Amino acid sequence: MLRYDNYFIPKNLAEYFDLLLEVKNYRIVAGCTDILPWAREGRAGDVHIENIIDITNIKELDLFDIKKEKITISATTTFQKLFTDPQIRKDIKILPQVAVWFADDQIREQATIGGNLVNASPAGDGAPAFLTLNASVIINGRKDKQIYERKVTLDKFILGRNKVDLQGNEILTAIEMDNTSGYGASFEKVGHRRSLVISTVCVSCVAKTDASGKIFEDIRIAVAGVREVPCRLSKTELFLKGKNINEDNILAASMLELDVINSRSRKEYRKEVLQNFIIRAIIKSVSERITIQENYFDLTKEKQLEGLSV
Amino acid sequence: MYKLKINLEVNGRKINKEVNSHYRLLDFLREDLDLTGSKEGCGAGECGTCSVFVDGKLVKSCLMPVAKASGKKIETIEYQGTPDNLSTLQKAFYQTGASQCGFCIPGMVMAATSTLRNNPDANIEEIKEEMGGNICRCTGYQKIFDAVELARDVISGKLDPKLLEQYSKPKDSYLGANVKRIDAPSKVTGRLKYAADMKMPNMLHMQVFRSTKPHAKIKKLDLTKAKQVPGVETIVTCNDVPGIDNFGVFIEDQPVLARDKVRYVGEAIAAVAADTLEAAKEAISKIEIEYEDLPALFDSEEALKDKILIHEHYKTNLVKHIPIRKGNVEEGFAKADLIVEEKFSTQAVEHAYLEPMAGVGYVDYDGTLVIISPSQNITHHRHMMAKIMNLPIHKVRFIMSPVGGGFGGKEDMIYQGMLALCAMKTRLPVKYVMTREEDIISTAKRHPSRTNYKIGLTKEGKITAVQIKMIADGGAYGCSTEGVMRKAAILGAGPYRIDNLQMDTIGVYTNNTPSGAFRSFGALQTEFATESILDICAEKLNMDPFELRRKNMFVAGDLTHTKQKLNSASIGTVLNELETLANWEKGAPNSRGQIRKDLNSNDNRDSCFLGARLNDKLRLSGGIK
Amino acid sequence: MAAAWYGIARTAAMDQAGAWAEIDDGGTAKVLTGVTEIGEGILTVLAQVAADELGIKPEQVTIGDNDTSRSPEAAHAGATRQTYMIGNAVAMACRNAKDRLFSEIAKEWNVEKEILQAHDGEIWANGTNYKMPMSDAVKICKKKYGVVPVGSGNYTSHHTGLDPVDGSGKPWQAYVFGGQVAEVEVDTATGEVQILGIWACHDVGKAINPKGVEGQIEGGVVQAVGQALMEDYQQVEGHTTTGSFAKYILPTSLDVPKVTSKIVEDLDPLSPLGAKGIGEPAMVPTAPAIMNAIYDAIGVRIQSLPATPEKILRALGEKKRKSNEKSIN
Repeated sequence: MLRYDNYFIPKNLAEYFDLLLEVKNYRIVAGCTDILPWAREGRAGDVHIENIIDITNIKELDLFDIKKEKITISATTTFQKLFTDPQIRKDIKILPQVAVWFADDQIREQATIGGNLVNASPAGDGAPAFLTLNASVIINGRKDKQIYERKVTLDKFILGRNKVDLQGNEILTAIEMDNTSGYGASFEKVGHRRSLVISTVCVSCVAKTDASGKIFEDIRIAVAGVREVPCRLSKTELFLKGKNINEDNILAASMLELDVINSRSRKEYRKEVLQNFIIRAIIKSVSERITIQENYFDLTKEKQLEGLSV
Repeated sequence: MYKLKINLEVNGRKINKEVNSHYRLLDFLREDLDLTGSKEGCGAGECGTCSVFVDGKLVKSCLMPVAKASGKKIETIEYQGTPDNLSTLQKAFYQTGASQCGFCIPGMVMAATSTLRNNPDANIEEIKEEMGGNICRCTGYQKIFDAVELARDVISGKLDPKLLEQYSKPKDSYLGANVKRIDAPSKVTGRLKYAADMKMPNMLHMQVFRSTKPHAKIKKLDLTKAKQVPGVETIVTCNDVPGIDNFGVFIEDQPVLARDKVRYVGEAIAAVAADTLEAAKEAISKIEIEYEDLPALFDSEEALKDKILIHEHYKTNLVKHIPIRKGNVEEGFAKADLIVEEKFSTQAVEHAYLEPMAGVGYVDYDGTLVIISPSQNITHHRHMMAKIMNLPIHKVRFIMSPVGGGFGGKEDMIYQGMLALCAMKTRLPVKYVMTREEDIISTAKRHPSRTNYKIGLTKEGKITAVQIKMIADGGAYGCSTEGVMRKAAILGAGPYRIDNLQMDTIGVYTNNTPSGAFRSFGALQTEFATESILDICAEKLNMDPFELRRKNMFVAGDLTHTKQKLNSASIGTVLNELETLANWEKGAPNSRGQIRKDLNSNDNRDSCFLGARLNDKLRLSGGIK
Repeated sequence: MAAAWYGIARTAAMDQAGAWAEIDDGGTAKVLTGVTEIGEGILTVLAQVAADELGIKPEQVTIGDNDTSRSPEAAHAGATRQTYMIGNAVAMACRNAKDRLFSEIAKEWNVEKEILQAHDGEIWANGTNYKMPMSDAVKICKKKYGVVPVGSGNYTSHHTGLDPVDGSGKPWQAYVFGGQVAEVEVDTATGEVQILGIWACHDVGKAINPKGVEGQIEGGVVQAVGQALMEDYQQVEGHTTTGSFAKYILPTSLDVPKVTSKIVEDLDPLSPLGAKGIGEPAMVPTAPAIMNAIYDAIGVRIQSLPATPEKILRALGEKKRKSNEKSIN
């Protein structure tokens, strides 16, 4: 059971920073979908925190800006928004895929991407997807009564298991990512069932082919669940860029960084699944129908890819 | 306790109230507004029984602090319809028989309502995906899906609303009629009150102090600080039991509260009754205990050696051994052309009824002890309670509250004794609701089993001898272990004529969570082994698996393994009907999955790859169908 | 595929159930018995049995609450016994009550009791023009003849214990048989198994509510699917490591197969209704059918439940290693 005495809902950043000066013994919450299951037997047990500070009403955190090159969305954006927003569904295909694999509809209505990132769980789904979108996080803090802003790339923001680069009174306000209009995407997790899955291996991939559809123009792959901190497979990406899209290259790429696995349990299983996932992710990302450029693939090319057996 | 003021709208009513600051929206709805249709099946966002609409979005109210709901419009199950005025969806649930125990149903109705509101044309894959956050343990979901599809089509005008009213019935009889479930209206509207929904004036709340050791002597139990917590009315231990302190379904060897020692992690040691749940919990945290660790047993084979005893006065850890002997297995194996020997094992399984254990106890105006609980056997519970509380049997009254799933898990009288003690001591009504976590660690599980199997057959496929030995971990207390062993032994070798049979089922005490009754107990474990090994034999004999069963199956007049004459045996008919139903392609079970032609019929569901609502039709299969 | 059998009601011990019935004003009925509805649909079944025996509609039957101080003993919910034991006890009680009513109506119409019949709220005398609504019949019975049409009934299932040496005995009166076929899909990239379809055929004796029987089969199958693939209650040194629904994995709507059921009715000759049961037998053949199907798909047999993705990939790896060794040799 989570017991607390006061629940604050600051309306803006100034109020938020003022509050942090006034109260001791506090906890910052957003969607509350992590903290409430945590304060139960078998995990943290009964927990008493004097003050809860809920950041979901802070007006500066009400941002949802989609531009041609970059999108900037607030840390309190829910995962469900990534699933339902028509522009995101059209252009940034990796995000609705991440969303549909994340818990279930109801939890997505409450869970925020910021909360997910700040928790920095090794099995967290948001981070690998955002990494493939070259995400940066926007942080606000207040020093000497002045509110400042700083930007950090996501890979530098996540420091370790449950550890992120937030100093002092800093708060994660927004996430800026590439608009991957024109890219295909793939997201996959493995688990013991098809819903409400906490995963041991997860692979996120976005890719773009060149105009002929035969060559990898850009490809970005990130993995999570297999190590303390999610990461991009930069060697693999480098290998594939500019190469022909064919079975041999994909297979060779899938073997390059399997040592990225750094988990204590079920290592053999994770290795095998990871390799298979990488192969599937690459294929799917380049086979995705791209709505803007209708005739991107000529049909014969598609058939070839579908014939790939894995 | 700290309070905060909230202002919100619930089911069309404007509410302006002071509420406990730490309440979740679920607690506020259930405790302060008595809207008990939303349930706490798990409290951790995993089961969906707490689903409500907040500003039109379906959320899990066990994950929402009440302060977040301020200023919002809440819609609960109670707003969807009443038993005499059901919504179309509720009528559809009623029509298709979608409700069984009913505990998940309010959440399911809400999830279905949300699904159809968001997408009035949702197809079955989209429906399943949007309802993936709600768990059901009773129905297998099928009739729930049928209900959503039926409602979708009636609402869109595709189907006649009359389809929501009728049921099929043979001309002159109500036997064989698909009469609609009479308890469905109360369940689909969330109006039915389960034990945790009940409130009585001046009711106390009970919490339980449980063992953190698998096997230990209780050297010292200090309740002083706990008793001083404001609001605490009583704390009970084994010393408060006035009668003979033991209960159990088959063997009565479990004390109401641990006596002298604890035998498994989670065993109840003391119970506190206080005026609020929070005070009771605080008192629990202040109980001080000193254990003396004892060597513990976690493996049944090790336990059988009796080097450490779990129940000293039994002088052995063997709970029950059931033998069956028929004919002569040595001779039988000598006659066999094929002998197969294999090992099988099954795991401990949790009942996971959506309704966690809960109950209310009080002493009525007549001095009768009354216990209201979702017990599966109030008759037996009353017997045991009278003995435990040293009361004449007619002064003990057990009332069955609606059961939110049982499956054998609510046969054990695992908490009613504590409720009785608190009620008798305080003369006030006492309520106890287990959290999901408490329920999982402290209540009985399905017996995990290890089976050694030897079977002999002629080359024509006739079974000549079977030898089975099954060892089951009975956990710390007897519960239903004896019954489970018996059933496993009687049924284990399957519905087959076996002239030479040696069957031994052995239940053992260990310091694991007690094993108890669970739907199809004993038979599931042993018949799993039998049906697996028969397919192994079928492959070796190059026989179709149906044929192998037919060669050996019982017919009317045969003797069972316990030498009982069967007046009829429908297994032949069943196998024939099954083969036709599944459109089975005949052949030996030699992994012909790649080449057989009877797959991918319309009787299957589609393979599930998330993204039905993204119109993500590209499905990459790394596997074999 | 896999076959199965099961016994109905209490094992190797006498089983008993009692019930009371009253034909009430308005041609409705009250039935009181120690019935424990746990979701299987027994209340509805009893309403149907009562309605059928008494000649009224199931919607007109009120079943009283299960209360040790108010209702007669009918023992417990379990062992697939309620339809058999309590269904039959209620049938007996209703026959008793109906007999009282018929005796008076026979007097009223001056006919032999044997030609009286009732169904769906009407009572009539076969071969005559006598007919009236049940509501009128009850009124006449009570007000004119002073007889309240109450009845009681008991049903006994005769079982014996087992011999302690060779286990011989008659543990049950009624047996049921069943079988299931499973179709699975295995993702060899991850070891995940999806169960696409289950065909189930079960002998339940007389199926009093076929939809209810289907519901039991569908529910039982899914519980067995859970045990087969994903549920695993684990302890380490006596401490539970799967203490919440986040760790103890239950099947969701996206994991369940489509279930096609067929009911076989091999009527029980020893009981008034001929019904037997389905609650537990429904889930006995499922797990082995699934394991046999997995073997059919990928040539790997899991003999230790649950068949998790890890176990499947490991077994596939073993199989590949063994066949590589073979081809080297």
